[in-house]
Amino acid sequence: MELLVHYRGTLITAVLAVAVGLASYAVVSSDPLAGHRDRSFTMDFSRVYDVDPALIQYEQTREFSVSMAQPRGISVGPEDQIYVAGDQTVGVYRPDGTTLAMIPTEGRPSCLAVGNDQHVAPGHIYVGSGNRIEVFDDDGSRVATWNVPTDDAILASIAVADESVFVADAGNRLVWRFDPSGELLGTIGNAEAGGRTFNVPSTTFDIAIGPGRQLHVANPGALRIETYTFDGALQARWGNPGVAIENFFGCCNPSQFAVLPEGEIVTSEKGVPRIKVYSEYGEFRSVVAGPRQLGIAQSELGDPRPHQAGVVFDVAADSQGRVWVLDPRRKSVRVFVRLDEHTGGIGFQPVNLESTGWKPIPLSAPLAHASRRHGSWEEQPDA
Amino acid sequence: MSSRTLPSRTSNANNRRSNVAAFARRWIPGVYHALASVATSKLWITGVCHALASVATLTWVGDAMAAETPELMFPVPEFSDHPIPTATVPEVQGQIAPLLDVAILFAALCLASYFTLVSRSRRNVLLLTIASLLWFGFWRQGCVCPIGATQNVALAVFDPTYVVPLTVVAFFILPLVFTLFFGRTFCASVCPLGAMQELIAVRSVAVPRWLDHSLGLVAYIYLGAAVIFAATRTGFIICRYDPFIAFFRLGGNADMLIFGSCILLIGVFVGRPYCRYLCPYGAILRVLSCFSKWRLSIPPGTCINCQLCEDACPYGAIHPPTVAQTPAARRRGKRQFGFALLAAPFLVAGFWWLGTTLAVPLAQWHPESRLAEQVRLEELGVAETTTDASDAFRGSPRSVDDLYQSALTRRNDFVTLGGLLGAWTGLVIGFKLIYLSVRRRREDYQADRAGCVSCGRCYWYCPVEKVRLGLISDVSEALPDGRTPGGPLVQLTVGGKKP
Repeated sequence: MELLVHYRGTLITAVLAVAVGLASYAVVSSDPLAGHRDRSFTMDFSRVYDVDPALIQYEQTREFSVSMAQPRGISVGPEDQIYVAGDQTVGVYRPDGTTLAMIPTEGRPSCLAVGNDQHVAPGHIYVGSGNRIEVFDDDGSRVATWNVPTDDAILASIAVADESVFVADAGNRLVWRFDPSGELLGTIGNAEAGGRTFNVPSTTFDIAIGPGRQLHVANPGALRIETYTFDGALQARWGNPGVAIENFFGCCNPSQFAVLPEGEIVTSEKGVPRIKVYSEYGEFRSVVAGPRQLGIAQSELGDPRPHQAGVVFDVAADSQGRVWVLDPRRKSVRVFVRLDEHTGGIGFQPVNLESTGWKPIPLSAPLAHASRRHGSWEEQPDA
Repeated sequence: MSSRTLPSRTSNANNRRSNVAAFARRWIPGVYHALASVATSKLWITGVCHALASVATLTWVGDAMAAETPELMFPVPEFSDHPIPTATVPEVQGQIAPLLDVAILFAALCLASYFTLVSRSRRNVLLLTIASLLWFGFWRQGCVCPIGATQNVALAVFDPTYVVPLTVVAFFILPLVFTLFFGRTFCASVCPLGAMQELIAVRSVAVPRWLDHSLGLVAYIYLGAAVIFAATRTGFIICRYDPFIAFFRLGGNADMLIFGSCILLIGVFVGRPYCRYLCPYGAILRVLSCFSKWRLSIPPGTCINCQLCEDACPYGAIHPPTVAQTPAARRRGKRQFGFALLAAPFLVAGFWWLGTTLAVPLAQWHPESRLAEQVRLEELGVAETTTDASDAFRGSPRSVDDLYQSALTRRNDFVTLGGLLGAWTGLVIGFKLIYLSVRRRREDYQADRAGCVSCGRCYWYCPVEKVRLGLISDVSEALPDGRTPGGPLVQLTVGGKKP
């Protein structure tokens, strides 16, 4: 005790020195003005990143570059030719990736569709850009330009039926219906007309024609797909929100979808990118590709940076049931084929694609200029 | 897991709801326009009609939409197993609470001034200190406080777009006004930060004068930095580095908890370390207190120069009577004064230059610069993760180049601002040197005008005060053995204070 009293001053000085040092350290190490990521609300995406391998019944068989800076939409036309819209052009490709034509457009296309054999004008290309639809003949010549009767349109998707052309407008949250001459026939989901409306929080708002003359419409904010008659009568709706693989996840999904020949629906989700197959009635069937198969790293999920946040994998389906995926990051088209068709069943080793002569086109491959005569595209040498 | 639902268009209920919605959409805008057109001659009537029609529209359409399409509302996403919390609407406080705060502050300042200057009651001052700590500290959680309000006022002065609440202005102004009249009575027993330190100053040791004066400059530099950071919307650093807010709110940043704990530990031995060496508002009050109309006087009558008050003051704010100066000391003092006067401009210029060199580290405090740096790291691919700010930036239409340009502009601004902060620092140091070189004559023990926080501790020890209160009959009863009035501890210049 005497020692404490004797060294009282020294002890107090020591305590003060330690306290000052600690306080200084706390102030220097603290950075209360720093921007942080609030981890308390960070989502754990590990559950959704890996998909049960047993559910993946497709495999990528090839991939080819589309030579566009910003590919936006993909569609399959007659003879399973692939049409890709992006930049200010529409690229036409053979299924093997050979470039047949590059059709310039006036606007920057956001979506496109091609009339199939049931359409009154098979091969007609409908390209949505801004608030208008540019129509091209099957030889790439411009046929007409239709204007959507509103300035605030965001054309997100086009679907071509036999005698109707449907255009999904995310800006007005409705579907316009035109006849092949461009005359407006009506709308579906028009709030001013009463009845049902669509919940469209973002610019993704896809539509497609089913084999039974139905119009499938994604209601992305409601996380489901709805089926209408061409007159706008709701026939069915399906889809549940949720993180599980059979559900639709995120704010507004499915962002894209396509209809397979048998009426099954291939959906593509954004945010946590995954492509899945459902029956016409919404029964979950299988997975085409999960985030890993699409080349998305787990750390990228939830990352709002443009290269990830802006990625929306548009999908299309051809007459053979192949799923064509437009990868905007790799600026390529990726082809997925069912494993049982491709290998003879799930669990079989995939065939060596290179031995079959399927080779991906190098990204630096030159474009071919082509014109279409007498119903078929002919390759032309570079100009 | 999937579901198929029958078409709902055929539902009679839905049709009825659709009819309601259609009616609302068709008729309410018409009513709205009709009301508005009828009232075009009177603007106020137009306003009322617009408001009524808008409310009616919202009510009708809202009800109709909600009733019509409940299934089209956003479904609750399945994020995880975390239960979705129930949304609650916070209670609207209205104007009563802010007015009550101002009223309580005013009352507390009145009481503090009364207890300090009129009733001279240390006990009441102490009780008020505890009450202020409980109310302004733990109940109001340290906000609004005059110390932080300095930044709001600074921002409002330099940024006309910022609207500072009147409550905040009142919190800033009231203690200043009271200080001009009654000295630092706010510090005495109203400020919750001061109250916290006041209650733990139990083992105070004397801080060497040179160290006390030197550390006292930090508060002025802190004030300058806080004003610049607030005026440029860099941040309210006084609030961010408030050492006690974590205690008031019973939780906070670990670093700030350590900082606050250390300040409290230091406060056990060094009275009110935050008030004396860091508080930027205290720096303003120090200056104003020098001009206060009334101020605390230690003895109620004639000072007997017993030195008990100086020993009792834990803040080193009581100065002894001055001794007679020798001619040599007087000449030396004059030389020091002249040197200080000459040095002041050089100090201002030197620190101005030094401040300009700190432009980059100062600018890095600004959120814009931080965001630019974060985005740059993200663009380079070396950022480990994004931040909320960079996430928000990515979602905005603003370009990266625009952000970089803005950050560069901000950095150039901070060259000037850093220079100003440096000049302010030089000015404060120069003024301090001049202040210290000026000799003041004191004939008895006096509280330092700037440093005295009017806590009234000296009342408890002053023998003259005890005689006044009737606790003792003669001052000698309160003096320790061997200490007599006018004893060898002090040498008076002209004797004791006249009665």
